[in-house]
Amino acid sequence: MKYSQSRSAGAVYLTTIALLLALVSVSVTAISLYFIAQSESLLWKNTNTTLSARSEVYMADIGARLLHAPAWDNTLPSQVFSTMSNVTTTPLTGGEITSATISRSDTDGIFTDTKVQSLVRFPLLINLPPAALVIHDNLHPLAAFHLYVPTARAHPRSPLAVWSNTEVNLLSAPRFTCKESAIHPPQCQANAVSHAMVKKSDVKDKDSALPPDALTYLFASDIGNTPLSAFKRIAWKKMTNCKSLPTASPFIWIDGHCEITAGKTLGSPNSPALIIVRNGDIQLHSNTRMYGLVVSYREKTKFTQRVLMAPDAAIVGSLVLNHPASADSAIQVMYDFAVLSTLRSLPALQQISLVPGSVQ
Amino acid sequence: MSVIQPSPRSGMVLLEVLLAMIMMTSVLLGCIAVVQNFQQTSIATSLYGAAMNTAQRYRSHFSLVGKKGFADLPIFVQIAPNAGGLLPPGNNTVNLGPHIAPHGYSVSWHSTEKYTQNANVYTTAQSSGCPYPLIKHIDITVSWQNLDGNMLSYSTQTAISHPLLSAHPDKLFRLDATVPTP
Repeated sequence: MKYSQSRSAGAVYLTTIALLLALVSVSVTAISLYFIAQSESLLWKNTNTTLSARSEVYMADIGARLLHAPAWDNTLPSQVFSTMSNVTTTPLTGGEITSATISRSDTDGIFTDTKVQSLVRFPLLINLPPAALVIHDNLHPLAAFHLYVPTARAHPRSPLAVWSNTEVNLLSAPRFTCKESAIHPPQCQANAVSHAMVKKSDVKDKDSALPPDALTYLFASDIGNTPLSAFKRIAWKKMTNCKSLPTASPFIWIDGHCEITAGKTLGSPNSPALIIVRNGDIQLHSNTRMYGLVVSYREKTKFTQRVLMAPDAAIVGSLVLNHPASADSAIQVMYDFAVLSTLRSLPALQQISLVPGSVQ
Repeated sequence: MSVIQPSPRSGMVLLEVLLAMIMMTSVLLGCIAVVQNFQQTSIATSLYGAAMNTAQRYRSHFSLVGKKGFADLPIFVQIAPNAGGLLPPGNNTVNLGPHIAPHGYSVSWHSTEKYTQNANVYTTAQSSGCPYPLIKHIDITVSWQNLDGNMLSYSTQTAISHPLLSAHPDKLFRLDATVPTP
């Protein structure tokens, strides 16, 4: 009897110890699982972050490749084109808008990261000047001009020679507009559309539709308050004069006077340029041509900027002024919608926007 | 004469006590080892997690550059191979909570500029390609010393796009919208 009682007592102790051990084991296991879960969670977070970072880099790479690509079609590198879908093109006046959806999947272990976003590519030039001369200020009364707008080269919707938000007086100086297709002032004067005696509809002045700021009109710079310096940063060539002008560059920025010596040509009908001359004169000597859109921009200065061209020199495209020009200015512009369209469509003069809400 | 008989329970109790002591000691030692191990793991995990968060903070900072269109152009231009931006490389002290002393992390990042010509990407500007970089690839590395004195590191990456790649979508509504009054 005593023996069986002592065995029972031993069993009780052993059972108690076994239970305590079991409790300890369970606790240790639970704590282990907690720490394992913490480590796993960190590893998962790491994998997730790595995948997300890779996608970010990939999408940036695709965007950069698409910005200046000649076309969004199968001429693109296969690794780019294979990510694209829903490519659509919408025509603009002298340009186009292209949109596409980019998607990409990346897998690491049990995780798959899928990124989808829609991009729209559109011209840097938000508006294409419809006139040979666009003036965002009062033109100096003595500044002369000959503006050629041949019918075949005119803007299809608004064929203008002058567009200004202030009055343009044709009496105060030799000012002629014509439809001649060759630079020849006497012929332009002889066949003038608008001149001192008559102002026809090709001179659109006192038009409040033209914004006071040239950058707002050309680039919609008021959206996001883009300063002038930003456009200098995205120019392809930056110069302080025109002594060593490149024969072709899509976007040229000149800080200072731009004097082009006789016989020189800047750009061509097939590779025109956007040329911004900041706080400087523009002087074209005999038999010179500038193809594209020339912006004579005066910034924070009251100095008079001269725009002087020899009788056989001209800008082929359009000229935008945000200042009155000097009294001795003589402007000659041959409006050319085809040249401006080519300019606006240049891959180098495009920008991309992410379609809001399209990023997944 | 009385003979004292040994209690049949005394041997068993002693055996049980010995067994119990051995088992409890083993368990106790095991528990101490496990707790120490857990503590080290916990600290190592916290250190790693803090490194990840530090790297993430830098990554988030960089990935936001260029998203505000042209307003971000000055920052984009400023970011040079190892400088620029608002978060320069350097040392960071991270507070890891009440049980771990604040720990020092060394952060370094390197930017690689990517240029394009048509639809191809290069690490240098091409003669007829875009003269300025359209992407800045940022590699971020966070280094720290673990409890054993060994140096560990965590790396991540991101890419900053030129503001021309994140133009304001409102500009789309202005395309050809300004026309002469009829």
